[in-house]
Amino acid sequence: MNQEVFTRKRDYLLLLPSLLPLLLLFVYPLLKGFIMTFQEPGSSAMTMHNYIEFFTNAKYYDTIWRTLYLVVPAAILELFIAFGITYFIRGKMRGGGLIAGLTIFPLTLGSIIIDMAVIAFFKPTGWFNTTMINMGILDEPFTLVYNYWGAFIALIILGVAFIASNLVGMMDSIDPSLEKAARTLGASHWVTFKRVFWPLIRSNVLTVFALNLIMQIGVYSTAVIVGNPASETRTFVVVAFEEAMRNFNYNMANTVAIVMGVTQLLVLAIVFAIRKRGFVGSASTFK
Amino acid sequence: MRAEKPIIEEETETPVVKGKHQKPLRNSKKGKLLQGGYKTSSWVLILLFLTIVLGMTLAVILSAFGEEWYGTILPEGYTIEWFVNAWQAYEVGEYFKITMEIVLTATVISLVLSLPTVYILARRDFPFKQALLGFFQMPFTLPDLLYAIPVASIFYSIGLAETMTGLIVVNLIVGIPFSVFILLPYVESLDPRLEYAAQSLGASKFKLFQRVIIPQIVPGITASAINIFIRMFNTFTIILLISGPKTQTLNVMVFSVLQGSGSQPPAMLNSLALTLMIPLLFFSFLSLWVSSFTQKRLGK
Repeated sequence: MNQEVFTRKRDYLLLLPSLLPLLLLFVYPLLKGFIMTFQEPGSSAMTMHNYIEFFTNAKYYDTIWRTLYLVVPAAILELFIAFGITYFIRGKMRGGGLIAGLTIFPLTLGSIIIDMAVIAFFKPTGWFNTTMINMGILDEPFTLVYNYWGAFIALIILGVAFIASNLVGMMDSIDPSLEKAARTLGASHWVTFKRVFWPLIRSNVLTVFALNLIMQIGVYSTAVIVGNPASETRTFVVVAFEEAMRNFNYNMANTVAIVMGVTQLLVLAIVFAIRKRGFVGSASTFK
Repeated sequence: MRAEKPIIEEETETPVVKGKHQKPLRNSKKGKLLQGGYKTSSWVLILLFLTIVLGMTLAVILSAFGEEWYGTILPEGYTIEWFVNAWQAYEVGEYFKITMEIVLTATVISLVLSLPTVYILARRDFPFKQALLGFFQMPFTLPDLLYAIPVASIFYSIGLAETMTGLIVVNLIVGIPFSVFILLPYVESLDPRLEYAAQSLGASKFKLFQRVIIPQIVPGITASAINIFIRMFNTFTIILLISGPKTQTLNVMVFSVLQGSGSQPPAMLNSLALTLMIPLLFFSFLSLWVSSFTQKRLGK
């Protein structure tokens, strides 16, 4: 098989139809955007003004804490819920497929419909509050929409669906005979989980966790529709859009986006530093 | 309800592990109790989560189809009037048409532009191949805001913003790399001997693509096209930044309405949001059908 149809150097020109548009539409804007953050609108002099403004004006630097305060607790809770559900239904449990399907189902609806659904279900006259009042648990409706909790619930629903959609496949890829071996040698369920199952799936779980966290740091439509974008759920993207679409200050908007990107990278670095301290590899080899 | 195989239960008395290790938990009362507690709490978690998910979905659907609904368990009557009103008031048909035009054009362009690249990536090894693959991954792994804002500012300064061309072009940023990654496995699985044969019989490069390669990957292209289409239908951030009042895609229009209208009845807003589901459900089913159809055809 030493004959090749495409052997000449000239054939690499075939890469150009896809590379050129990307260089023009993706790489150039990315670089220009980075330079833009060092400029003021309407001038080309280099200055650190945008970053100084971001880190000294509470209107801007507050968004870091507001975003993380909303997203990090949600992401951790999502991981526990999704892991609990998918671990319980792994293997050949009857009805497991149905449960997995229903858990992942919100992903197909998309963020906007989930936001409206959270409002319909958790609003003061919605099913949640009426049921709670009828059961005598609450005296008066609990405000769960158009504030922190509304965005929190919507994030949880979508995040659990995302994490579960990834975990289902990963759990199935772990060879069940490893667990069986541990169980026949007398290990309890808990010990089998702690010493066999968890070390094998740990690195994948952390990767999915990091991906989900990064995605949710960029939360926008949820924060605007079910949250309170003026104060409690004023996330990075809300501020960036406000700068770009209301004030037409693309330089500041991109500064916010860069700070968001750096935050995401830091989160990624932290999770991967934790991930490195354990087994990283496949557990499906000897099936 | 049981996740374990019966074999495990039979192995209750294994003298091997006793001895210096601690007594296996699962024989003791405490172990059984813990196991029961774990099962119960898992079921509670599953039921709680699924109740909320299904309740939410049902609530939003009932509200969109309900007549009057305030404080009662169920709406007093059912109607499709909200949908009709919402579709007329917000010209859903018009935006749907615009979205289809944009997304279809962008899908075709991405497929055409990415196919030669995919072929080279599948057949040739060259020094920076991994780096190139990494580069193609960037547009859909980086947060889209990072390139969306500069693209918007460039497009506004050269007059491409708020035009159909502009909206089609920005869809390519994700469309091209996405279609590279979707098409790659299909092309890699082709038999290269067919291409040698064609070339030895004197086929030109263009003929090779036209008569040998493309006919073989038609199923792959169809499946990819639907996936790219769904992906583009959901493009949000960048369209929101460069869309004008008359050139918007459906989901950006719905979002703008939901964002800025406290005065509309919630039922109408819900029916507007649910409108987004219809094309997506349709194309998801289409994609499932096509993939099962092609799998049957290829005998996998």
